[in-house]
Amino acid sequence: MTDGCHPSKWAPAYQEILLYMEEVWRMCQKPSFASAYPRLCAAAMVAALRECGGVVRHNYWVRVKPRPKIAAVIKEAAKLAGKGKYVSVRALVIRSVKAFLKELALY
Amino acid sequence: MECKKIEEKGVEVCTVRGYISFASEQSLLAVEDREVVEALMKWLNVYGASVEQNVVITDGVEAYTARVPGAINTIIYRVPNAKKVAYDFIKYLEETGREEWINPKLAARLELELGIVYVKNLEERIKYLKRASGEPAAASTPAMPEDGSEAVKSEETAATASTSHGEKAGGIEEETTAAGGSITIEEVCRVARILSESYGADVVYKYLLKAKDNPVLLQTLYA
Repeated sequence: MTDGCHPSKWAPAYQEILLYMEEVWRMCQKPSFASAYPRLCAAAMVAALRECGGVVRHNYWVRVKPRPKIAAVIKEAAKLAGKGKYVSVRALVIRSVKAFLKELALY
Repeated sequence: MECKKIEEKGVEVCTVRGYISFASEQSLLAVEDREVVEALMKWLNVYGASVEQNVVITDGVEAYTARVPGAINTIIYRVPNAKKVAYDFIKYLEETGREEWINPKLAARLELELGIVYVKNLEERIKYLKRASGEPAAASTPAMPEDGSEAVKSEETAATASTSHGEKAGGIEEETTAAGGSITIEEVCRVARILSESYGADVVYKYLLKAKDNPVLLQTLYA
């Protein structure tokens, strides 16, 4: 983990939730799990983003390692990114935390 | 400059024609868009104003501004805790799905300076997910031998699996074992099953969370 490029830099208040999300993202490496919970995985993926700038391109998932392979996850990730060509990392984090908690039926 | 003092809150609200710039002003917004007006007005209603105008939240040292293009007036809030109020505004926009408007650098800095941390206990949910991660696999691809979960109570999971229940309900029932206490596991499973049939898994989960601290609740309600 390269410090300073973690998404929690842009949303320090959500640091702890982001850690949980990274854990879920590791679980999402299993194709069967990822296709069963595409939205959860797309939201969790944002926590694995290592982009040092304040904004990312709309197709930010190409920078995530390991790269997502399930089409449904990518589709949900695109929904999280919204309409613009660029999206600020903070906006992405806020949206994905919301989606993540909603998927876990806690929000 | 017209000013009005709200005594009980320690807030002074001033309206100025035009816009005066402040020494150290930081924009709350990343975009200056007409759409912002609507959001601003809704937020201002909370604080007791309702006109289209620029907003400045200041405590005398730092000024947080939200400029609206085309606004004639500026409303200046002199508040003792400008940071907190500014963060409230950011939070309001984020909660109403307008997170792309706010200035991310300022938001991140305010969170750090105010020391805001959202803590949610997701441990159990993650554990349940881990357990469940095996089951949809079995549903979609039957030849999926490895079970990614480290089920804590193996005999308990076997019991729930044998009831041929939905994977969600199964996961919840497993969590009740932590609640355990004086009543038997079979009893808890039975109650959870009844609840999940009539209310859905989410209700069961919430109920069990509550009952975890006092197992008596389980007994008295569903004995």
